[in-house]
Amino acid sequence: MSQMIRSHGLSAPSETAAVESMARVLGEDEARAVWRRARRQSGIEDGAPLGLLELLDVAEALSRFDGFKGVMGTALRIRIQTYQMLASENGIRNGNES
Amino acid sequence: MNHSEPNSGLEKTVGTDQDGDERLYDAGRLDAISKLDRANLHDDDVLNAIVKEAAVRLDLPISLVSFVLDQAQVFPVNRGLTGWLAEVEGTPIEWSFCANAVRDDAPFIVEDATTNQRVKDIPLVKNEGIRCYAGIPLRLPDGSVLGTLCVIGTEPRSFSPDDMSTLRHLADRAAARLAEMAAIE
Repeated sequence: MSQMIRSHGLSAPSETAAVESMARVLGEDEARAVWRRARRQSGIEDGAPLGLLELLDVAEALSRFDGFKGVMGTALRIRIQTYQMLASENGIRNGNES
Repeated sequence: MNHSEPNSGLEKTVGTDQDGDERLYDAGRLDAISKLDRANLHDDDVLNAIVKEAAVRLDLPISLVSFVLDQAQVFPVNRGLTGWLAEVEGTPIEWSFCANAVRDDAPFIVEDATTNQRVKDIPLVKNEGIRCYAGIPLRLPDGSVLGTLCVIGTEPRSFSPDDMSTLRHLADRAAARLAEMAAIE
Protein backbone atom coordinates (compact mmCIF):
# COMPACT_ATOMS: atom_id res chain seq x y z
CA MET A 1 0.00 0.00 0.00
CA SER A 2 1.30 3.47 -0.85
CA GLN A 3 2.33 5.56 2.14
CA MET A 4 1.70 9.26 2.44
CA ILE A 5 4.14 11.67 4.01
CA ARG A 6 1.55 13.33 6.18
CA SER A 7 3.62 16.41 7.07
CA HIS A 8 3.82 17.39 3.40
CA GLY A 9 0.64 15.72 2.08
CA LEU A 10 2.77 13.82 -0.44
CA SER A 11 1.81 10.36 -1.68
CA ALA A 12 4.40 7.97 -3.06
CA PRO A 13 4.78 8.38 -6.84
CA SER A 14 3.21 5.52 -8.77
CA GLU A 15 3.33 4.13 -12.29
CA THR A 16 -0.36 4.88 -12.77
CA ALA A 17 0.04 8.54 -11.78
CA ALA A 18 3.14 8.88 -13.95
CA VAL A 19 1.42 7.55 -17.07
CA GLU A 20 -1.67 9.65 -16.41
CA SER A 21 0.40 12.82 -16.18
CA MET A 22 2.29 11.97 -19.37
CA ALA A 23 -1.06 11.45 -21.10
CA ARG A 24 -1.92 15.12 -20.45
CA VAL A 25 0.73 16.06 -23.00
CA LEU A 26 1.02 12.96 -25.20
CA GLY A 27 -2.46 11.49 -25.16
CA GLU A 28 -3.22 8.16 -23.53
CA ASP A 29 -2.05 5.78 -26.25
CA GLU A 30 1.29 7.45 -26.89
CA ALA A 31 1.90 7.88 -23.15
CA ARG A 32 1.46 4.13 -22.62
CA ALA A 33 3.72 3.34 -25.60
CA VAL A 34 6.47 5.70 -24.41
CA TRP A 35 6.19 4.29 -20.89
CA ARG A 36 6.56 0.71 -22.18
CA ARG A 37 9.71 1.75 -24.07
CA ALA A 38 11.18 3.36 -20.97
CA ARG A 39 10.40 0.22 -18.92
CA ARG A 40 12.12 -1.99 -21.47
CA GLN A 41 15.16 0.28 -21.58
CA SER A 42 15.34 -0.12 -17.80
CA GLY A 43 15.33 -3.90 -18.20
CA ILE A 44 11.91 -4.27 -16.56
CA GLU A 45 9.45 -6.73 -18.04
CA ASP A 46 6.02 -5.58 -19.20
CA GLY A 47 3.51 -5.93 -16.40
CA ALA A 48 6.04 -6.44 -13.61
CA PRO A 49 5.07 -4.36 -10.57
CA LEU A 50 7.29 -1.38 -9.85
CA GLY A 51 8.59 -0.36 -6.44
CA LEU A 52 9.92 3.13 -5.97
CA LEU A 53 13.48 2.21 -6.92
CA GLU A 54 12.34 0.56 -10.17
CA LEU A 55 10.14 3.59 -10.86
CA LEU A 56 13.25 5.75 -10.47
CA ASP A 57 15.07 3.53 -12.99
CA VAL A 58 12.24 4.05 -15.48
CA ALA A 59 12.25 7.81 -14.83
CA GLU A 60 15.99 7.94 -15.51
CA ALA A 61 15.53 5.94 -18.73
CA LEU A 62 12.75 8.31 -19.76
CA SER A 63 14.90 11.34 -18.98
CA ARG A 64 17.32 10.16 -21.68
CA PHE A 65 14.61 10.37 -24.35
CA ASP A 66 14.85 13.29 -26.76
CA GLY A 67 12.69 16.40 -26.45
CA PHE A 68 9.84 16.90 -24.06
CA LYS A 69 9.57 13.19 -23.25
CA GLY A 70 12.96 13.49 -21.59
CA VAL A 71 11.73 16.49 -19.61
CA MET A 72 8.85 14.36 -18.33
CA GLY A 73 11.38 11.81 -17.12
CA THR A 74 13.31 14.54 -15.29
CA ALA A 75 10.07 15.74 -13.66
CA LEU A 76 9.21 12.22 -12.51
CA ARG A 77 12.73 11.78 -11.12
CA ILE A 78 12.34 14.99 -9.07
CA ARG A 79 9.00 13.77 -7.67
CA ILE A 80 10.49 10.42 -6.69
CA GLN A 81 13.59 11.96 -5.11
CA THR A 82 11.48 14.47 -3.16
CA TYR A 83 9.41 11.60 -1.82
CA GLN A 84 12.52 9.57 -0.97
CA MET A 85 14.20 12.45 0.88
CA LEU A 86 11.11 13.31 2.90
CA ALA A 87 10.34 9.64 3.55
CA SER A 88 13.84 9.26 4.94
CA GLU A 89 13.39 12.31 7.18
CA ASN A 90 10.05 10.92 8.36
CA GLY A 91 11.37 7.44 9.04
CA ILE A 92 9.50 5.69 6.25
CA ARG A 93 11.72 2.75 5.35
CA ASN A 94 13.52 3.17 1.98
CA GLY A 95 10.63 5.21 0.64
CA ASN A 96 10.13 1.97 -1.28
CA GLU A 97 7.20 0.39 0.43
CA SER A 98 5.06 -2.05 -1.50
CA MET B 1 2.44 43.60 -13.36
CA ASN B 2 0.53 40.77 -11.82
CA HIS B 3 0.68 41.20 -8.10
CA SER B 4 -1.03 38.38 -6.29
CA GLU B 5 -1.23 39.63 -2.73
CA PRO B 6 -4.63 39.01 -1.10
CA ASN B 7 -6.16 42.40 -1.90
CA SER B 8 -5.12 42.48 -5.53
CA GLY B 9 -8.24 40.72 -6.75
CA LEU B 10 -6.05 38.40 -8.78
CA GLU B 11 -5.88 35.45 -6.43
CA LYS B 12 -6.22 32.08 -8.08
CA THR B 13 -5.67 28.59 -6.85
CA VAL B 14 -3.00 26.52 -8.56
CA GLY B 15 -4.63 24.09 -10.95
CA THR B 16 -7.84 25.96 -11.70
CA ASP B 17 -6.77 28.18 -14.58
CA GLN B 18 -7.40 26.41 -17.88
CA ASP B 19 -5.28 28.76 -20.01
CA GLY B 20 -2.51 28.52 -17.44
CA ASP B 21 -2.75 24.73 -17.46
CA GLU B 22 -2.46 24.70 -21.24
CA ARG B 23 0.64 26.87 -20.95
CA LEU B 24 2.13 24.56 -18.31
CA TYR B 25 1.58 21.37 -20.33
CA ASP B 26 2.43 22.87 -23.72
CA ALA B 27 4.69 20.42 -25.58
CA GLY B 28 6.52 23.26 -27.35
CA ARG B 29 7.44 24.87 -24.03
CA LEU B 30 8.65 21.52 -22.65
CA ASP B 31 10.62 20.94 -25.86
CA ALA B 32 12.36 24.30 -25.34
CA ILE B 33 13.32 23.20 -21.83
CA SER B 34 14.66 19.92 -23.20
CA LYS B 35 17.26 21.87 -25.19
CA LEU B 36 18.74 22.96 -21.88
CA ASP B 37 17.93 19.90 -19.79
CA ARG B 38 21.29 18.29 -20.47
CA ALA B 39 23.39 21.45 -20.61
CA ASN B 40 25.69 21.97 -17.67
CA LEU B 41 23.86 24.98 -16.27
CA HIS B 42 24.89 24.13 -12.73
CA ASP B 43 28.48 25.20 -13.39
CA ASP B 44 27.79 28.10 -15.73
CA ASP B 45 29.66 31.14 -14.43
CA VAL B 46 27.31 33.67 -16.04
CA LEU B 47 24.13 32.18 -14.58
CA ASN B 48 25.74 31.64 -11.18
CA ALA B 49 26.85 35.28 -11.11
CA ILE B 50 23.32 36.43 -11.99
CA VAL B 51 21.76 34.29 -9.26
CA LYS B 52 24.29 35.60 -6.73
CA GLU B 53 23.64 39.20 -7.76
CA ALA B 54 19.88 38.71 -7.41
CA ALA B 55 20.26 37.44 -3.84
CA VAL B 56 22.71 40.17 -2.85
CA ARG B 57 20.91 43.11 -4.45
CA LEU B 58 17.50 42.10 -3.12
CA ASP B 59 19.04 41.08 0.22
CA LEU B 60 17.38 37.66 0.34
CA PRO B 61 18.92 34.29 1.27
CA ILE B 62 17.73 32.22 -1.68
CA SER B 63 17.75 32.82 -5.42
CA LEU B 64 17.17 30.41 -8.27
CA VAL B 65 16.96 29.83 -11.96
CA SER B 66 13.97 27.50 -12.04
CA PHE B 67 12.59 25.45 -14.89
CA VAL B 68 8.91 24.60 -14.60
CA LEU B 69 8.37 21.12 -16.03
CA ASP B 70 5.04 19.29 -16.40
CA GLN B 71 5.05 17.56 -13.01
CA ALA B 72 7.92 19.18 -11.15
CA GLN B 73 10.12 22.24 -10.99
CA VAL B 74 13.89 21.95 -11.11
CA PHE B 75 16.53 24.45 -9.96
CA PRO B 76 19.53 24.03 -12.29
CA VAL B 77 21.22 27.12 -10.84
CA ASN B 78 20.56 27.95 -7.22
CA ARG B 79 21.95 29.71 -4.17
CA GLY B 80 21.00 29.41 -0.52
CA LEU B 81 18.99 26.20 -0.57
CA THR B 82 19.40 23.92 2.44
CA GLY B 83 18.33 20.44 3.55
CA TRP B 84 16.38 18.21 1.18
CA LEU B 85 15.73 21.10 -1.22
CA ALA B 86 19.49 21.45 -1.75
CA GLU B 87 19.76 17.69 -2.30
CA VAL B 88 16.88 17.31 -4.74
CA GLU B 89 17.19 20.74 -6.41
CA GLY B 90 13.51 20.67 -7.28
CA THR B 91 9.99 19.99 -5.99
CA PRO B 92 6.69 18.55 -7.20
CA ILE B 93 4.87 21.03 -9.43
CA GLU B 94 1.97 21.52 -7.02
CA TRP B 95 4.38 23.10 -4.53
CA SER B 96 5.82 25.53 -7.06
CA PHE B 97 5.65 29.30 -6.67
CA CYS B 98 7.32 29.64 -10.08
CA ALA B 99 4.56 27.70 -11.83
CA ASN B 100 2.28 30.64 -11.10
CA ALA B 101 4.54 32.94 -13.14
CA VAL B 102 4.47 30.44 -16.02
CA ARG B 103 0.69 29.97 -15.80
CA ASP B 104 0.15 33.75 -15.71
CA ASP B 105 2.98 34.51 -18.14
CA ALA B 106 3.77 37.38 -15.78
CA PRO B 107 5.82 38.19 -12.68
CA PHE B 108 4.58 36.53 -9.51
CA ILE B 109 5.06 38.33 -6.22
CA VAL B 110 4.27 37.11 -2.72
CA GLU B 111 4.94 39.48 0.17
CA ASP B 112 3.54 37.23 2.90
CA ALA B 113 3.07 33.62 1.86
CA THR B 114 0.95 32.81 4.92
CA THR B 115 -1.85 35.05 3.65
CA ASN B 116 -1.54 34.52 -0.11
CA GLN B 117 -4.41 32.34 -1.36
CA ARG B 118 -2.34 30.70 -4.09
CA VAL B 119 0.50 29.48 -1.90
CA LYS B 120 -0.47 29.62 1.78
CA ASP B 121 -1.27 25.92 2.01
CA ILE B 122 1.72 24.45 0.18
CA PRO B 123 4.39 22.57 2.16
CA LEU B 124 7.14 25.02 1.22
CA VAL B 125 5.22 27.57 3.28
CA LYS B 126 3.73 25.35 5.98
CA ASN B 127 6.79 23.12 6.52
CA GLU B 128 9.84 24.80 5.03
CA GLY B 129 9.38 28.38 6.20
CA ILE B 130 9.18 30.27 2.91
CA ARG B 131 7.51 33.62 3.49
CA CYS B 132 8.25 35.88 0.52
CA TYR B 133 8.92 35.37 -3.17
CA ALA B 134 9.40 37.36 -6.37
CA GLY B 135 9.85 35.64 -9.72
CA ILE B 136 10.22 36.94 -13.28
CA PRO B 137 9.45 34.63 -16.23
CA LEU B 138 12.48 33.49 -18.24
CA ARG B 139 11.50 33.70 -21.88
CA LEU B 140 13.42 32.47 -24.92
CA PRO B 141 13.31 34.51 -28.16
CA ASP B 142 10.67 32.10 -29.57
CA GLY B 143 8.36 33.09 -26.70
CA SER B 144 8.74 29.89 -24.67
CA VAL B 145 8.66 30.54 -20.93
CA LEU B 146 11.06 28.13 -19.26
CA GLY B 147 10.59 29.08 -15.63
CA THR B 148 11.75 32.04 -13.59
CA LEU B 149 14.60 33.92 -12.07
CA CYS B 150 13.36 34.28 -8.51
CA VAL B 151 14.34 35.36 -5.03
CA ILE B 152 12.96 33.80 -1.85
CA GLY B 153 13.04 34.72 1.82
CA THR B 154 11.98 33.36 5.16
CA GLU B 155 10.45 36.61 6.46
CA PRO B 156 7.57 38.61 4.95
CA ARG B 157 8.71 41.66 3.00
CA SER B 158 7.56 44.05 0.31
CA PHE B 159 9.16 44.41 -3.11
CA SER B 160 9.61 47.98 -4.34
CA PRO B 161 9.45 49.04 -7.99
CA ASP B 162 13.24 49.36 -7.84
CA ASP B 163 13.52 45.78 -6.53
CA MET B 164 11.38 44.49 -9.38
CA SER B 165 13.27 46.54 -11.94
CA THR B 166 16.53 45.02 -10.70
CA LEU B 167 15.10 41.51 -10.83
CA ARG B 168 13.65 42.08 -14.29
CA HIS B 169 17.01 43.31 -15.58
CA LEU B 170 18.77 40.26 -14.15
CA ALA B 171 16.09 37.95 -15.60
CA ASP B 172 16.65 39.50 -19.04
CA ARG B 173 20.36 38.72 -18.72
CA ALA B 174 19.63 35.15 -17.56
CA ALA B 175 17.19 34.58 -20.43
CA ALA B 176 19.76 35.85 -22.93
CA ARG B 177 22.35 33.45 -21.53
CA LEU B 178 19.89 30.54 -21.65
CA ALA B 179 19.00 31.39 -25.27
CA GLU B 180 22.70 31.35 -26.12
CA MET B 181 23.15 27.95 -24.47
CA ALA B 182 19.99 26.53 -26.08
CA ALA B 183 21.33 27.52 -29.49
CA ILE B 184 24.55 25.60 -28.81
CA GLU B 185 22.85 22.43 -27.52
